[in-house]
Amino acid sequence: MTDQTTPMSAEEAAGRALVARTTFEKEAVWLPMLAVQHWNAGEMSIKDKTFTDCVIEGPAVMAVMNGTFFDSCAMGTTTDVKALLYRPVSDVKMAGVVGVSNCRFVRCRFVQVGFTGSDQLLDEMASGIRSQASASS
Amino acid sequence: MSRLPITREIRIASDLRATAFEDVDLNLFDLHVDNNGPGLGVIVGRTFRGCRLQGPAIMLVSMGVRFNDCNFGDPDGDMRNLVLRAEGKRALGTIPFRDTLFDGCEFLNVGFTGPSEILDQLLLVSGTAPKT
Repeated sequence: MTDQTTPMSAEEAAGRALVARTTFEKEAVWLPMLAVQHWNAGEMSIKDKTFTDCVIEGPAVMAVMNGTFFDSCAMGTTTDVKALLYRPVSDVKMAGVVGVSNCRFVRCRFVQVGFTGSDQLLDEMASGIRSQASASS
Repeated sequence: MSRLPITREIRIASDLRATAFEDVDLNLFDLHVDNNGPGLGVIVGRTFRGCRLQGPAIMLVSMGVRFNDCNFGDPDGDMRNLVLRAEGKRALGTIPFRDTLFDGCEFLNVGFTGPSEILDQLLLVSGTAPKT
């Protein structure tokens, strides 16, 4: 005999539906909440999604992982792109960041979002926001 | 190091604009938005005692922030896993704090950034030497 599972609340079901989506278009996306919904669903990173013409809002620092592309995006309002960039002290693990892998951001605008990742990624972003380039993990 | 009991019930903070918080749970990004609106300001002059503070968030530790008997989260054996160094003079995307006391608090899914001298102190918490 198996135990009966507790039905999901409406809020939890909405969160799971959000996690299951693969495309977002012309929407405002609150990155910390999207990350929490993924964690609640047992996924520790946001992956395999396409965001088109979206506003991606923080406060958050995105860990740009493998297969993530930025195409014609506005990465943030600053005169110094380095204000958006963070270099991990450890090369093993990062806490507090929102991991993003195999995602495509097309014509998106980032608001209060910082970025971290590999040395190569950070160097490329610092030298001029890269576009259409895949990130290494 | 803080040892909030694992059996402690979740108590969501009801007033995120309060100056003192005790024995409550808070999402740092909710605190930031409720106090400043997205994209603005610094959280200043607060006291947190026995609280659980959750991310995902990178806390910008600025002047006058003190940690007393706190659990910074799971460093996986190395405090460097909790620390990011800002590349620029400003730090967008973080949640900035100033003149704030954290006493007996726990952090979950929170990373830390700030001036090098502050980060170097944080890195000494577990005895790890600052990475140059």
